[in-house]
Amino acid sequence: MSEYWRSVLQACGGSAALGAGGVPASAATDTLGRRELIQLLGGSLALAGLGGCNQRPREQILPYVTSPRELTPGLPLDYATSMELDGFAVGLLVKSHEGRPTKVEGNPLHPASLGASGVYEQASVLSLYDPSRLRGPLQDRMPVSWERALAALQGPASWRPWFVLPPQSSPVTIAWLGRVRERYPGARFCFHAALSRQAHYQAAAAAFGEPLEAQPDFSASRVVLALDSDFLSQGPMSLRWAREFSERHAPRVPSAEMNRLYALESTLSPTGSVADHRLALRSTDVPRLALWLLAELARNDARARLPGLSALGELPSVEGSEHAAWVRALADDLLRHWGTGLVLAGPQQSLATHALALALNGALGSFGRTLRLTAPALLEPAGAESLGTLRAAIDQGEVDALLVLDCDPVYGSDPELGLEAAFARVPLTVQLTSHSNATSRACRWLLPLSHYLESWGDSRALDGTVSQVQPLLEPLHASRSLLEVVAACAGAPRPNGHALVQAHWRSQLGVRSVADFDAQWATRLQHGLQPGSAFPELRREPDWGRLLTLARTALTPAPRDGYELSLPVSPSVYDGRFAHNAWLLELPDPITKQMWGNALRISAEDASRLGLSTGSVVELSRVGRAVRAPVLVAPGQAPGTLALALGFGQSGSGTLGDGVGVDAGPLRAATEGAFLRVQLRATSQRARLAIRQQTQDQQGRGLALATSLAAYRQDPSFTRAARGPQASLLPVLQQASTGPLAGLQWGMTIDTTLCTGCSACVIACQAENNVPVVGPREAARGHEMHWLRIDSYAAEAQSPVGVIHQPMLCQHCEAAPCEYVCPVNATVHSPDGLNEMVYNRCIGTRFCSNNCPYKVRRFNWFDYSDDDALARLQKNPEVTVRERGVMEKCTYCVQRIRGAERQARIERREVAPGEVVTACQQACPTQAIQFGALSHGGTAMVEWRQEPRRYSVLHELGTRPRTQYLAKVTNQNPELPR
Amino acid sequence: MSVAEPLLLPTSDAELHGKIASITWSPRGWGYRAALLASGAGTLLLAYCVSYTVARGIGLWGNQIPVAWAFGIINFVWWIGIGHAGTFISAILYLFEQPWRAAINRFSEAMTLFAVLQAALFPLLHLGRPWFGYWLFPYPSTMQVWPQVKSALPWDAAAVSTYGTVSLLFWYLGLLPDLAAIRDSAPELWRRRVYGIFALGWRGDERTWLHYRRAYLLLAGLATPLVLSVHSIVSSDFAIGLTPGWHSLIFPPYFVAGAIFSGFAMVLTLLIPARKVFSLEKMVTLRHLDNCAKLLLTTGLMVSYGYLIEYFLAWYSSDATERYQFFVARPSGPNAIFWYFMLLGNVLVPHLFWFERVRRNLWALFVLSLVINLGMWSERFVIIVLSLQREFMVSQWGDYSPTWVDLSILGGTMCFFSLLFLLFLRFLPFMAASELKELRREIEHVPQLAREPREREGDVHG
Repeated sequence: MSEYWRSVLQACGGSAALGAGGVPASAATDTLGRRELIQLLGGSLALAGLGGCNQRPREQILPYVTSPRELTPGLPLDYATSMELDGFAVGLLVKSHEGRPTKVEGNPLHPASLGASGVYEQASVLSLYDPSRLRGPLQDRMPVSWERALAALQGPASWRPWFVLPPQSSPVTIAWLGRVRERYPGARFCFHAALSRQAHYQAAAAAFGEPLEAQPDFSASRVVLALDSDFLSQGPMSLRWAREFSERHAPRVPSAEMNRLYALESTLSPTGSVADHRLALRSTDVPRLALWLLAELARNDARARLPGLSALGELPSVEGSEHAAWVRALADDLLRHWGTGLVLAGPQQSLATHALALALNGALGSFGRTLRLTAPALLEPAGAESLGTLRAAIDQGEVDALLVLDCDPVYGSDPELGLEAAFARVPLTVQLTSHSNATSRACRWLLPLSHYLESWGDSRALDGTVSQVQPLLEPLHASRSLLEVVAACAGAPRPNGHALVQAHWRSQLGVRSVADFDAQWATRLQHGLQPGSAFPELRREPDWGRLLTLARTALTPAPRDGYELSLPVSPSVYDGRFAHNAWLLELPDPITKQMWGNALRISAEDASRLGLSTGSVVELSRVGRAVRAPVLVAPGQAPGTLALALGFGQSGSGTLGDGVGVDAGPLRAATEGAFLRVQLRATSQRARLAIRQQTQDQQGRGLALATSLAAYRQDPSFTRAARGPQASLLPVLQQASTGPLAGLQWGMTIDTTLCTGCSACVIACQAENNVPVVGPREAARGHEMHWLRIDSYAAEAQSPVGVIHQPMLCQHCEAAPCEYVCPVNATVHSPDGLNEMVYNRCIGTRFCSNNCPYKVRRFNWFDYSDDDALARLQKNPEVTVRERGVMEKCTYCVQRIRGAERQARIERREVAPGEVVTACQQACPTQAIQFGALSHGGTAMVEWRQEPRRYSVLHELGTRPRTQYLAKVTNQNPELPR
Repeated sequence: MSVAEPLLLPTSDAELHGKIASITWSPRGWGYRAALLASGAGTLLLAYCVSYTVARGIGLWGNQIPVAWAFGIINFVWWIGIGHAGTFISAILYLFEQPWRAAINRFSEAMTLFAVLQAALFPLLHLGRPWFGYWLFPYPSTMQVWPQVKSALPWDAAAVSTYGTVSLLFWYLGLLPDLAAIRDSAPELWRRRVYGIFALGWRGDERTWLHYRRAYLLLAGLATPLVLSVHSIVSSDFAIGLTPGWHSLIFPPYFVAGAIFSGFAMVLTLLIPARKVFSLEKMVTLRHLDNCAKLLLTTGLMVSYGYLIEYFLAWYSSDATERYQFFVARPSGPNAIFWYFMLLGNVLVPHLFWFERVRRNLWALFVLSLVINLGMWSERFVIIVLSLQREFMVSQWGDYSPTWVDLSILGGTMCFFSLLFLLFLRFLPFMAASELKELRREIEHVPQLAREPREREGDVHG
């Protein structure tokens, strides 16, 4: 321990008094030093009564700066860490106030983040403080000690433990799993993920002999085809892919080139809403359409004729089908851009689709150009064991112990598998989990899992970059990380995450001296990743024949009886693991805007034919099993298809998610894959859904403008009616003061071409500004509190599938209608252009809300602030928590503005361009939101305002908003009708 | 023209005194007690709901975003509007020298006061933080912040408090001679003492009457512009906003007309049963009811004109949101039923008063006055709620529905109003006995007064 202190002091030019052994006097004794006291006071006052102090870990963690800095109370520090989801890491910077993490941001250095973060990352900080987390080990529901629990995980060499865990990419964990295998030759591992990418790897294994990762490079591609793939908002690299795609998608000048996105899907997703052309069809029809496309390409261009096509025999022709024109136009476009095309298949699609996607990429010359082959980051990516083989092994009595680590295989599993009953027959059942869930009912031992913000470890991004996981605080409860439990199973006595990770990397990095390792280690912690650890590109010759045999099933059309039900992961609670997280439960779905639950998405045609409307309850049935669900008439839903998001309908977990939504699990069938054939029957029941936006029809009001690239080039100033000075009899109201107090004038520009509707900004704003959660009943009544919302509209001149996502927040109008109607001066205009909300002056007349035409103001109808001691730790101390009866709204993150101004004043300089970044701007993967000062010329915020497609929402009202929008431009293929 | 209805049927001072003044404090029948009990229970419900709202929050009401104002403000405007008839009768009809006001002015002034009392509850109660409601008033605060006077809400605070004060003073001034009469004639000593205190030493001599007349005229002069200004200011709560359906310049005169319209309807609602119960047929003749009905017709036509102008301008503006609000949202959107109630009560019903048969029919007048008040409440509902439900941002369209607390508070204010009114009927002379005695003597000396005013010699038409 003293070694670490010495090195820190040396780095700081240590001047603290040194006691014996070079250790600062305060650290050597038992009495609390001044620093420790302040750290403890900051965090532990609220924790009084709970076990475990809120200390910085005694192992040394290093903050994200170029040199270590001492902790100053009141100044937050950023630490680099990573969050792993289904085996892949996204690098993050987490802000820590007085030793407690309060806000998550992306790590600009990390390839999977590029500084952005998604909804899961943003909301994860709330999960850390969730009061319903397991707090200690339980055996048969009785509290026991960790010693006993770890002792139970040991067995003789003949022991046959089965591990069910998420896909693993962590080098340390993989090493320890190897040691478990050495210790117990009979150990088996089942890697379970709701959104499994196994089909992708199996197809690659068929083509290249080994399961390789095929990574898309959007910066080089001009045409992208998404086969039921929501790559812009779901998936391990979606943040990066969204950024790369968007950089080529928005035309900064009318003459710029745009890439083009074609999407095939049954259910409208954020990717489908951004797509220039979208075909709504059954997901089970996608392989056949891909095959038609391959046939069309081969017919028209010699470069697209793959050797091995003969494996499919006589290729079907698309002639005569309703999609003929579409496929032909698509084929022409792809061939015109041979070498810059890209085809992606969604993970839930069948093996045939993945095989065809690889084949199409081969036919279009993507390999080596827009598609790079690398080693896979996961262990056993194509999967050896499955839940089916587990069940069979249990039946044979070949399972001595079942260890379910950080996953919930019982929820949503095929009822035919009967997992819950089967688990009961295993002698030892252990679950390592943060929250009680469906699997917990079947396990005798429940061990609490540490949150990633409390754990040491590592992981890999999809491209192989080793991403460091370092904790920001000691575990709040008596929990262990997955790494520590695996190590315990392998026989490590008293496994400690820090020691395990360090020991592994000490041997891996092969450095000679301790100081060398310390330096490398410090850099790794500070940057959150191992530089240069991304996998190199591989060159392989594909075996097309073997690959295409996998696509044989696409030769026969899929059956069309009944409705096709797909179960996509929820854009808020994922596969159900986040169903305890209040922010995510209340997050409106990007497309349907439903909060607090899932509803069965049905097409408008089917709904009107069956006499259903949003809220009608229907019964879905399959082979004698039935599930009731409320219906939601969803835009863009293919006729004959239904969708019900995973992750809801849980019960008995003791979390907020209990009873929220519908669990479609009972309808599952392992044999049918991801798309089920179901029957639908209307009932007379109705349910009340909490839907944030009633209608997506703009009613001809031009609230969100859009055009095609061709039309934009012809008439660049098509938004002229919605911008510029207005004729008026009255003198123009001057708000921006020109006096000495004026300062920088703040503004924001939002490019709706880039917005995918992913809603990361919504959660980021909620986290940054202590925006409360109101619960399902209040949300259904129209009392939701989000300061920032995403309004989605059907593009006016186009079919209802063309969707414009418009992030709507306080426009900070220069002639604000809310300001002159407040009777008590609670909303006023600042000299730097902000519309300010003075909480302690507001008496709650709500006239300002009535007069705000954008309806961005939110009112505290009840006392929504959280009294829970743990949840309060997440609150940002720089933002007031509002009381009942007070209005609130977006402040352009005024705390960040003032923080930057303070820092600039201390350093005797001006605030630099790009120095102030709002929470929404920072989270956005596509960088659609730009904030800054009007006088900072080179910034995107200012330059975007010069573009001819700029407009103000509700311009005709004369509010002169500081928030400007750029109209959405779609790159339409002239051969295809919209 | 038919034979003129008499203004006051032959009676005597003693009868007037007996029917009005000396029946105060005397025990009432079971009907009165039942009504008092019911009103009392409703008032307790009101008190409970008010406390509940202040303790828990406005979330107990049906308000949401976008409909941030609903029952609270509707009730406020409705009650204030009702009050205007009393001031109209007391002050404006006094200045216009209309003798028929004498029988109903005390009654309607009391109605005004109690209505204003109900209304005054809401600007405070609907606040998110009502304990800071006093910030609406301009006082030298240690925070050095004054109210923001471009907003209509401080204007409201000023207007309503002025209105309440002037109405109270005017009403009390008019009560003085009658309180003195009771003081002088009551048999019990304690009654003489109590009324004596409130009579403020009224001596009934020349000088007292001179001062009384002057003060009365002054207050009538002060109260008259209030009839026009108070509801104009209340209407500016909406007119200064930019919401389609609120942003209409016609609002001030149209609201004032509507206020008098609903006020007279409430006068009729209260008057017709009271006339029967207390056998006041001699003082409140068919002439009074007829005149009230004619005023309902006049003001109802003004209100209809207001609607016409609103619709015309919405169409003429070619603004998509305005047109949607008036031509789609109101007739066919959520809660459209209230738009139909509004048209029924405010546009169709007044036309029934063209017919003398209707104007002289007690049952018809009573029922129609209730329909009118429903119509006027619905008009405020339409203006406030229907406009907010379908505003500019289509993404924020919302449907409103009230909660049981909303309905309880509305019903509670009606019960509180009737409680106050029943107590007023019990403990105070509910007609201006002194003025009626005066009128009786005038008729004795100038019999033509008893008939229609236009038949009086040398009188100006009007």
